[in-house]
Amino acid sequence: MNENLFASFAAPSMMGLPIVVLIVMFPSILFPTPSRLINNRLISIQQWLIQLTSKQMLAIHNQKGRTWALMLMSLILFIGSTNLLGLLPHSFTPTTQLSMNLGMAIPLWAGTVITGFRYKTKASLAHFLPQGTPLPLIPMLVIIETISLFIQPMALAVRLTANITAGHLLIHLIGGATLALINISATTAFITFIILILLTILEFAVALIQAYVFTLLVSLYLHDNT
Amino acid sequence: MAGPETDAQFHFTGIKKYFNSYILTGRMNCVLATYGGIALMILYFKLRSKKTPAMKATLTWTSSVKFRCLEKLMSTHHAILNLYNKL
Repeated sequence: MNENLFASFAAPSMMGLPIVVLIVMFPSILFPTPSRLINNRLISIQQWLIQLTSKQMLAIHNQKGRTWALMLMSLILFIGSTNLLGLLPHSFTPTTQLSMNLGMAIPLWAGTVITGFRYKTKASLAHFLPQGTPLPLIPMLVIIETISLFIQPMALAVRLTANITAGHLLIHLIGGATLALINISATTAFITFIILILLTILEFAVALIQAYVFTLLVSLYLHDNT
Repeated sequence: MAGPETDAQFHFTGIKKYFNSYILTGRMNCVLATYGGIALMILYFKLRSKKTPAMKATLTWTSSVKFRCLEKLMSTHHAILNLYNKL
């Protein structure tokens, strides 16, 4: 039981070859490229969704921040679609791997910080000391702000990993409990099944929310540095 | 949001003009001063000698000419004694 609980998080391989790259690339097939001025219904809905998200997310940014529009939209679409596909039974979810989430979080965070230091050096350095800090607290607060800056990419990656992994584990456990309870008590199994349905609905929401939170935080870091 | 327009309302004199937590330049200088202080502390602890004064005195004595001559004399004395005991 303990061995099977984490088996779904192992990197998949087929005939000895790792297929995780194919799995990571798969969601891009689900987003068709618009090829006409007026497209079919699916592409029109896709365009409308992307426009809605990008308008809401990029409203706070200035000219420089809006150059990141493609990056941010690709990020939210990728994480959202990967998380949703991971809710299919027996599928592998790349966003449960900390290595992958760190690989997304660290370069994006570093990009925003380097942009800030390059174009607004004074403001970026001054950001380490909140305005109005009393004199005796200045050194301590500078150290605390520096640590909190370096914690940001770690928090981004771990938040996504932990949320998706925890959700999948819960579904696995409650599903197993439902199956085990069928022969023991049908009523309890039914209640557990209702909990499983509710949890699955929650996981659908969490999949989309986590994608939005990840992208929004990157967007906020960018806003602070542009 | 802090910026040149909000900085204009503050008027500091002396060292507070450059090191304060209100205007952008002041905050930047405080941050740089903190990082510089930490760097100096690290440099000081790295470069300071790990030997105590007693160890330094011992090392000075053991590397001196007098000590080396004494050492040679003692080893010669031991060699003569061993030769005598063998005979």
